[in-house]
Amino acid sequence: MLTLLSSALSQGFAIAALGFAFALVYWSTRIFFVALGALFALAPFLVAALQPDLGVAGAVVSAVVAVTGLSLLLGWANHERLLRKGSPTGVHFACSLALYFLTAELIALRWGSDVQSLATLPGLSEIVGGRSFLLPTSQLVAMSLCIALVTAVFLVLRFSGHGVKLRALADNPVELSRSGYNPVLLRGMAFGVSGLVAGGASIAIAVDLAVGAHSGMGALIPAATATLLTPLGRWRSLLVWALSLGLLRTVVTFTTSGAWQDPVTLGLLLLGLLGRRLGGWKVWRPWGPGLVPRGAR
Amino acid sequence: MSYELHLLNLALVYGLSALGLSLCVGHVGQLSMAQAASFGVGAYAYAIFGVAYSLPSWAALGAAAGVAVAFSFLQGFIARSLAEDEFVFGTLAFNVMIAGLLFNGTDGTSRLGSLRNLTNGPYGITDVPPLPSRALGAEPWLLTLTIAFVVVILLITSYAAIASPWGRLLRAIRDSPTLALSLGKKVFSERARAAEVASFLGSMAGVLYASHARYIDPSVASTDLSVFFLTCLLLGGAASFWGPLLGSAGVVLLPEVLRLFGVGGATVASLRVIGYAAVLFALLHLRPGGLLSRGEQPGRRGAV
Repeated sequence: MLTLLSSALSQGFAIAALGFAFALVYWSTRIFFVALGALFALAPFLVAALQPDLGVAGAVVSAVVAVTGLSLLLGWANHERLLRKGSPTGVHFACSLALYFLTAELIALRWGSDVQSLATLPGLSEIVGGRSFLLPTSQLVAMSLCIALVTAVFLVLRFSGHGVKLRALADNPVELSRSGYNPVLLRGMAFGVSGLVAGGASIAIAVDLAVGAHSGMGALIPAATATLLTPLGRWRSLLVWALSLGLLRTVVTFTTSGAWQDPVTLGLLLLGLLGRRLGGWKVWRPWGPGLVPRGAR
Repeated sequence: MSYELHLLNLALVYGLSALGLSLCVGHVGQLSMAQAASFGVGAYAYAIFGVAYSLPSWAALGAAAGVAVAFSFLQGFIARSLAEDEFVFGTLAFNVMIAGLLFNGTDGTSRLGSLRNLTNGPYGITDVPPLPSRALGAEPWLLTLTIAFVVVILLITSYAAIASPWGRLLRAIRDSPTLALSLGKKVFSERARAAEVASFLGSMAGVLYASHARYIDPSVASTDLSVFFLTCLLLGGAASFWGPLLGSAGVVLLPEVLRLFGVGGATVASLRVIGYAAVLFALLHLRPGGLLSRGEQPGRRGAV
């Protein structure tokens, strides 16, 4: 039971960290930043490649900086250009998906399709535990890192004023720019921080489990599900959804098999979206579905 | 089967599915990520009726068409209930769910086609009967002719639908849903109908694919395949009739072009995906209406 609980918590905080990264962009710009999945996959490979030359700390910092820079580049070169053209959400999604496949396949070409684990880093092979459970140090370190990331993002958004600016960006970017703020810079910040959090979360997860070139989408699915099920801008609700999904996915794995994790998660998402649209529960969405006369359906 | 006929069959089958997707994406302006789910359900329905219940090929085709109609109502329900970004993620979720059900639909011991082993899971279904019949199936040109016959019938029907007042209504809804609403048109119902037709065409393409490949596994409903159909569609032009067919032919022939440059082996699969993704990315930025378009703006004609 305690093993199940620790596994659920570990998975839940990993989902929360990646969910925060995804929501930073989605909630402030309404863009599905699917390419984030590929950046998630890239970070552990960079750490493993740089570690012999730079040491563990240098490799981790360099990998996170590289992923952050790449995220900024993708945001600027892809989404900012599409925003200037006034492209709809679908175009952003399809472009981001294309970039995801492009990057994931480039990673596979460079480092192969095998998964990359950072569990071999020094000091991670010990086991801690009590009478009824055993916990690997790697899992504790991974969970602590994800908790630290989630807490840091929450505190920065809550107390620095950046959270309010991002919320204003989501509400009315035109009015925001009239007030003297630069929406392009704010969007850049959202993409950059998103990449930073995803890179950090990825390295944390690779410490416990392993990350492969094609595992980015699998990691992004529960994170995006938690984000889409959460009312806009409610970071604490996002954490609750992420932990609930972590528990659900762990129970599914324990009772059936891991192959049911994604269908069950996305089944929940579909039910949530349909329930919300059909009036199951109401969520504040500034863009809203629009006023649709009853007869239009 | 000669390699040229194999490529022609694939181009026809993928073209039919991409044409179905064009109704949703190009004519209504809603990006659906669930076309592979329809494709997979059609392929599995035909294979199960043909292999597990030993129906003759044409009877299996008819029964699979019935399943395709029933399945299309599910997609119609999603299109009726969700819009914009929620529709995109809703259809993606639906696709992953269907792929998961096909992958997990086995207990490993029961008879194929029973409730406990409906799909044979990751092992897939082998020895799927070819069209027009098992007895005549050894003739490759006959299979190609049958596939072409079915595709042409569905193409003519689709053309009639696109050119009809209903097709014009769909494009009016895409260009201005508010205006269509103000004219008393049932926007969500028409979107749902378009999604149903798209799903049906995708399922029929799946039936023809199963008959051609004679082996199917859960990858026929993967999200990658939905992206592949989207690439086929956007390459030719999302809102044009011939665009999806030409786009599919182009995408099917792309690996052959790579082979001309001496690229082969294990890297060809990765390079193919990189090629599709690069083409998709470039098209969405430079010509969102497709190669056959006249450079329309995204959000207008033919944009997703």
